[in-house]
Amino acid sequence: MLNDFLLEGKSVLVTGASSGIGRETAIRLAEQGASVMLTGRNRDALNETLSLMKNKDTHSLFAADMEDPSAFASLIENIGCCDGAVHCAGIYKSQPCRYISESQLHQIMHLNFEIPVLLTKTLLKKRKINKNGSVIFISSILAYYVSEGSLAYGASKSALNAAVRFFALELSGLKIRVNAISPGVVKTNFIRKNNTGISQERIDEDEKMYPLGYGTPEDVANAVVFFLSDASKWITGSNLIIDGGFSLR
Amino acid sequence: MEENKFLRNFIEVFDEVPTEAITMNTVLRAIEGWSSLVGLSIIAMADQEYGVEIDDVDLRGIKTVGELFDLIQKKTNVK
Repeated sequence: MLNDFLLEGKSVLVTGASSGIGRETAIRLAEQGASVMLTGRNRDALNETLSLMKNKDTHSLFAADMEDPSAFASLIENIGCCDGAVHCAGIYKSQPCRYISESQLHQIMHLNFEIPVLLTKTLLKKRKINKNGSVIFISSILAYYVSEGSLAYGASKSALNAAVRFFALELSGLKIRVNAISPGVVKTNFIRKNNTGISQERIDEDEKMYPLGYGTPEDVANAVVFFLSDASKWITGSNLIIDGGFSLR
Repeated sequence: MEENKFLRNFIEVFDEVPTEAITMNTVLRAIEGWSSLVGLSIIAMADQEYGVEIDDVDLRGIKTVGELFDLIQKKTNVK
């Protein structure tokens, strides 16, 4: 039974592998025996992720800025077939609805929704996702539980959640499973860098809303392992909320 | 940075136009309609109108409209 949770012999694409949940996912997948294809914009950061992974020579690295159509095309061309894809790449920007700018709305929708959907679609078209494969989209509880200033981000993740269910139905013929994970706040540079305009004090206050405290990237990566593994072979179209009890209130 | 334009941008962050006259001496948190969302909106306004980043620690240290003006101006000059 426990062997069902291993990922030996599986090849998995991880986007956003240069930091946060993506990095931790790559590390955890390697521990479970998967061979990982890491993508992200920053080659140095990807190399740093790779340096933290087991069985280094079984993994490959593709630095690509997905906003650049030629980089997108060359990524698709160069990666091999995979048994799983984990979409971790995403951006957050705090904007009260009165201050949403068209360009930022477009960018958030593009990176958080369109790119993951188009990447999945293109992999399928090129027959690069194997039968019995598993595709995982990292969503967010902000798709369900609103907070001030997160309209664009929350809407992009809601759109992604909808896409998951359509993919799941259409790909069931190939026994490819498609699921989403919706984490609450996890401690990553995403929130630490302060590009959200949120102070450490406010973050500490917010953490009190979580009965189990904020999560860690590993907490999410462990769920990714489960969704990639054969242990979840009857689960598709689901959306797992992992939030330390935040949504209980 | 022009004061009148700044005051117009500042007034725009409120859901409703404040009934009192807003001057450089007005105390932020004494303005009717002040809320945490207004605070977030000030941060977004500073970013969009002036291209400067302020966070809520900056904001907490500020008492008057004039002090906000000075902070944004200082950050604009640093760039």
